[in-house]
Amino acid sequence: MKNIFIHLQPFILILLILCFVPTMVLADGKGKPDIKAMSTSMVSDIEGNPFQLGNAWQEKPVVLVFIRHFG
Amino acid sequence: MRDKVDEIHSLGAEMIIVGNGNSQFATAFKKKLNLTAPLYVDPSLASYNAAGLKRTKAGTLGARNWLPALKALFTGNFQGRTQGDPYQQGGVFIVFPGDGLVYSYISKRPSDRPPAKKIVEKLKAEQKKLNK
Repeated sequence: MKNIFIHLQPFILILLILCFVPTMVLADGKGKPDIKAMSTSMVSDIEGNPFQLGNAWQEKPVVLVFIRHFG
Repeated sequence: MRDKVDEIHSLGAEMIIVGNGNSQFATAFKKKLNLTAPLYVDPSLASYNAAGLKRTKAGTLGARNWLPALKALFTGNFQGRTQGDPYQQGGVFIVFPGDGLVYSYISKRPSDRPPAKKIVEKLKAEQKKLNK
Protein backbone atom coordinates (compact mmCIF):
# COMPACT_ATOMS: atom_id res chain seq x y z
CA MET A 1 0.00 0.00 0.00
CA LYS A 2 2.83 2.36 0.92
CA ASN A 3 4.59 1.52 -2.38
CA ILE A 4 1.50 2.42 -4.40
CA PHE A 5 1.35 5.78 -2.67
CA ILE A 6 5.01 6.45 -3.44
CA HIS A 7 4.40 5.69 -7.13
CA LEU A 8 1.32 7.90 -7.21
CA GLN A 9 3.02 10.84 -5.51
CA PRO A 10 4.20 12.59 -8.72
CA PHE A 11 0.72 12.33 -10.24
CA ILE A 12 -0.92 13.68 -7.08
CA LEU A 13 1.58 16.54 -7.07
CA ILE A 14 0.86 17.39 -10.74
CA LEU A 15 -2.90 17.24 -10.06
CA LEU A 16 -2.55 19.59 -7.09
CA ILE A 17 -0.48 22.07 -9.13
CA LEU A 18 -3.06 21.99 -11.93
CA CYS A 19 -5.86 22.50 -9.43
CA PHE A 20 -4.29 25.56 -7.92
CA VAL A 21 -2.72 27.20 -10.95
CA PRO A 22 -3.09 30.91 -10.17
CA THR A 23 -5.53 31.69 -12.97
CA MET A 24 -5.54 35.37 -12.09
CA VAL A 25 -1.83 35.65 -12.83
CA LEU A 26 -2.24 33.99 -16.21
CA ALA A 27 -5.30 35.98 -17.19
CA ASP A 28 -5.23 38.77 -19.78
CA GLY A 29 -8.15 40.78 -18.42
CA LYS A 30 -7.60 43.62 -15.97
CA GLY A 31 -10.20 42.17 -13.62
CA LYS A 32 -11.77 45.59 -13.08
CA PRO A 33 -14.72 46.87 -15.10
CA ASP A 34 -14.46 50.28 -16.73
CA ILE A 35 -18.08 51.38 -16.99
CA LYS A 36 -17.32 54.34 -19.29
CA ALA A 37 -15.48 52.07 -21.74
CA MET A 38 -18.25 49.48 -21.44
CA SER A 39 -20.84 52.15 -22.17
CA THR A 40 -19.10 53.25 -25.36
CA SER A 41 -18.30 49.73 -26.57
CA MET A 42 -19.84 48.79 -29.87
CA VAL A 43 -21.43 45.38 -30.32
CA SER A 44 -23.73 44.03 -33.05
CA ASP A 45 -27.17 42.48 -32.89
CA ILE A 46 -27.71 39.12 -34.52
CA GLU A 47 -28.66 40.82 -37.81
CA GLY A 48 -25.27 42.54 -37.81
CA ASN A 49 -26.54 46.04 -36.93
CA PRO A 50 -24.13 48.00 -34.73
CA PHE A 51 -25.30 48.83 -31.22
CA GLN A 52 -23.68 50.95 -28.53
CA LEU A 53 -23.78 48.92 -25.33
CA GLY A 54 -24.51 51.94 -23.11
CA ASN A 55 -27.80 52.54 -24.94
CA ALA A 56 -29.14 49.40 -23.27
CA TRP A 57 -29.17 51.01 -19.81
CA GLN A 58 -30.15 54.53 -20.80
CA GLU A 59 -33.74 54.16 -19.59
CA LYS A 60 -33.86 51.13 -17.31
CA PRO A 61 -31.54 48.91 -15.32
CA VAL A 62 -29.87 46.09 -17.18
CA VAL A 63 -28.53 42.72 -16.13
CA LEU A 64 -25.64 42.39 -18.57
CA VAL A 65 -24.43 38.85 -19.10
CA PHE A 66 -21.21 38.17 -20.98
CA ILE A 67 -21.10 34.54 -22.01
CA ARG A 68 -17.92 32.59 -22.67
CA HIS A 69 -18.84 31.43 -26.13
CA PHE A 70 -21.73 30.11 -28.16
CA GLY A 71 -22.12 26.36 -28.10
CA MET B 1 -29.89 32.80 -15.72
CA ARG B 2 -32.32 32.70 -18.66
CA ASP B 3 -35.00 31.28 -16.32
CA LYS B 4 -34.94 34.60 -14.47
CA VAL B 5 -35.81 36.81 -17.46
CA ASP B 6 -39.48 37.19 -16.47
CA GLU B 7 -38.54 38.05 -12.88
CA ILE B 8 -36.03 40.63 -14.13
CA HIS B 9 -38.70 42.15 -16.38
CA SER B 10 -41.15 42.28 -13.48
CA LEU B 11 -38.58 44.41 -11.63
CA GLY B 12 -38.58 46.90 -14.48
CA ALA B 13 -35.20 45.82 -15.78
CA GLU B 14 -33.90 44.11 -18.89
CA MET B 15 -31.43 41.29 -19.35
CA ILE B 16 -29.07 41.42 -22.29
CA ILE B 17 -26.54 38.87 -23.39
CA VAL B 18 -23.24 39.48 -25.17
CA GLY B 19 -21.33 36.64 -26.81
CA ASN B 20 -18.01 36.65 -28.62
CA GLY B 21 -18.79 34.49 -31.66
CA ASN B 22 -20.20 35.88 -34.90
CA SER B 23 -23.86 36.67 -35.60
CA GLN B 24 -24.40 33.37 -37.45
CA PHE B 25 -23.41 31.42 -34.32
CA ALA B 26 -25.54 33.78 -32.20
CA THR B 27 -28.65 33.12 -34.28
CA ALA B 28 -28.23 29.35 -33.92
CA PHE B 29 -27.51 29.73 -30.18
CA LYS B 30 -30.60 31.87 -29.61
CA LYS B 31 -32.78 29.36 -31.44
CA LYS B 32 -31.24 26.35 -29.65
CA LEU B 33 -31.79 27.79 -26.16
CA ASN B 34 -35.06 29.53 -27.06
CA LEU B 35 -33.68 32.80 -25.70
CA THR B 36 -36.01 35.75 -25.33
CA ALA B 37 -33.40 38.19 -24.04
CA PRO B 38 -31.69 40.50 -26.58
CA LEU B 39 -28.48 38.92 -27.80
CA TYR B 40 -25.46 40.83 -29.12
CA VAL B 41 -22.10 39.75 -30.45
CA ASP B 42 -18.62 41.17 -30.02
CA PRO B 43 -16.00 39.06 -31.81
CA SER B 44 -13.44 41.85 -31.24
CA LEU B 45 -13.74 41.28 -27.45
CA ALA B 46 -13.53 45.08 -26.94
CA SER B 47 -16.52 45.10 -24.59
CA TYR B 48 -15.12 42.07 -22.74
CA ASN B 49 -11.86 43.96 -22.20
CA ALA B 50 -13.74 47.08 -21.09
CA ALA B 51 -15.61 44.93 -18.57
CA GLY B 52 -12.29 43.62 -17.24
CA LEU B 53 -13.17 40.06 -18.10
CA LYS B 54 -10.47 37.45 -18.07
CA ARG B 55 -9.05 35.55 -20.98
CA THR B 56 -7.10 32.61 -19.66
CA LYS B 57 -6.00 29.19 -20.87
CA ALA B 58 -5.46 28.02 -17.31
CA GLY B 59 -8.98 29.08 -16.42
CA THR B 60 -10.46 27.06 -19.26
CA LEU B 61 -8.22 23.98 -19.15
CA GLY B 62 -7.32 23.88 -15.44
CA ALA B 63 -8.12 20.82 -13.38
CA ARG B 64 -10.63 22.76 -11.27
CA ASN B 65 -12.97 22.52 -14.26
CA TRP B 66 -12.74 18.80 -14.70
CA LEU B 67 -15.16 17.88 -11.92
CA PRO B 68 -17.85 20.45 -12.92
CA ALA B 69 -17.41 19.34 -16.56
CA LEU B 70 -17.95 15.70 -15.59
CA LYS B 71 -20.95 16.68 -13.47
CA ALA B 72 -22.46 18.57 -16.43
CA LEU B 73 -21.84 15.58 -18.68
CA PHE B 74 -23.63 13.20 -16.32
CA THR B 75 -26.59 15.55 -15.90
CA GLY B 76 -27.05 15.70 -19.67
CA ASN B 77 -25.70 19.23 -20.18
CA PHE B 78 -23.49 18.52 -23.15
CA GLN B 79 -21.39 21.33 -24.52
CA GLY B 80 -21.45 21.57 -28.30
CA ARG B 81 -18.62 22.69 -30.55
CA THR B 82 -17.06 25.87 -29.19
CA GLN B 83 -18.09 28.87 -31.29
CA GLY B 84 -16.08 31.87 -30.23
CA ASP B 85 -12.92 32.35 -28.20
CA PRO B 86 -12.50 29.21 -26.04
CA TYR B 87 -10.24 30.94 -23.51
CA GLN B 88 -12.46 33.96 -22.92
CA GLN B 89 -14.23 33.89 -19.56
CA GLY B 90 -17.57 35.54 -18.86
CA GLY B 91 -19.15 37.76 -16.27
CA VAL B 92 -22.35 39.37 -15.04
CA PHE B 93 -23.04 43.04 -14.31
CA ILE B 94 -25.98 45.10 -13.14
CA VAL B 95 -25.97 48.61 -14.58
CA PHE B 96 -28.45 51.38 -13.78
CA PRO B 97 -29.16 54.41 -15.97
CA GLY B 98 -26.40 57.01 -15.80
CA ASP B 99 -23.67 54.31 -15.95
CA GLY B 100 -24.41 53.20 -12.41
CA LEU B 101 -22.54 49.95 -12.04
CA VAL B 102 -23.97 48.35 -8.89
CA TYR B 103 -22.83 44.74 -9.28
CA SER B 104 -20.04 43.00 -11.10
CA TYR B 105 -18.97 39.38 -11.20
CA ILE B 106 -15.90 38.41 -13.18
CA SER B 107 -15.58 34.68 -13.76
CA LYS B 108 -12.21 33.07 -13.15
CA ARG B 109 -13.07 29.87 -15.02
CA PRO B 110 -16.02 28.30 -16.89
CA SER B 111 -17.64 26.82 -13.80
CA ASP B 112 -17.29 30.07 -11.84
CA ARG B 113 -20.68 31.73 -12.17
CA PRO B 114 -22.77 33.75 -9.73
CA PRO B 115 -26.06 32.18 -8.63
CA ALA B 116 -28.93 33.69 -10.68
CA LYS B 117 -30.94 34.07 -7.47
CA LYS B 118 -28.24 36.31 -5.99
CA ILE B 119 -28.32 38.59 -9.03
CA VAL B 120 -32.10 38.99 -8.84
CA GLU B 121 -31.86 39.71 -5.10
CA LYS B 122 -29.19 42.36 -5.74
CA LEU B 123 -31.38 43.93 -8.43
CA LYS B 124 -34.36 43.97 -6.03
CA ALA B 125 -32.26 45.55 -3.27
CA GLU B 126 -30.92 48.27 -5.58
CA GLN B 127 -34.43 49.03 -6.91
CA LYS B 128 -35.63 49.33 -3.31
CA LYS B 129 -32.80 51.74 -2.47
CA LEU B 130 -33.66 53.86 -5.50
CA ASN B 131 -37.37 54.00 -4.66
CA LYS B 132 -36.74 55.18 -1.07
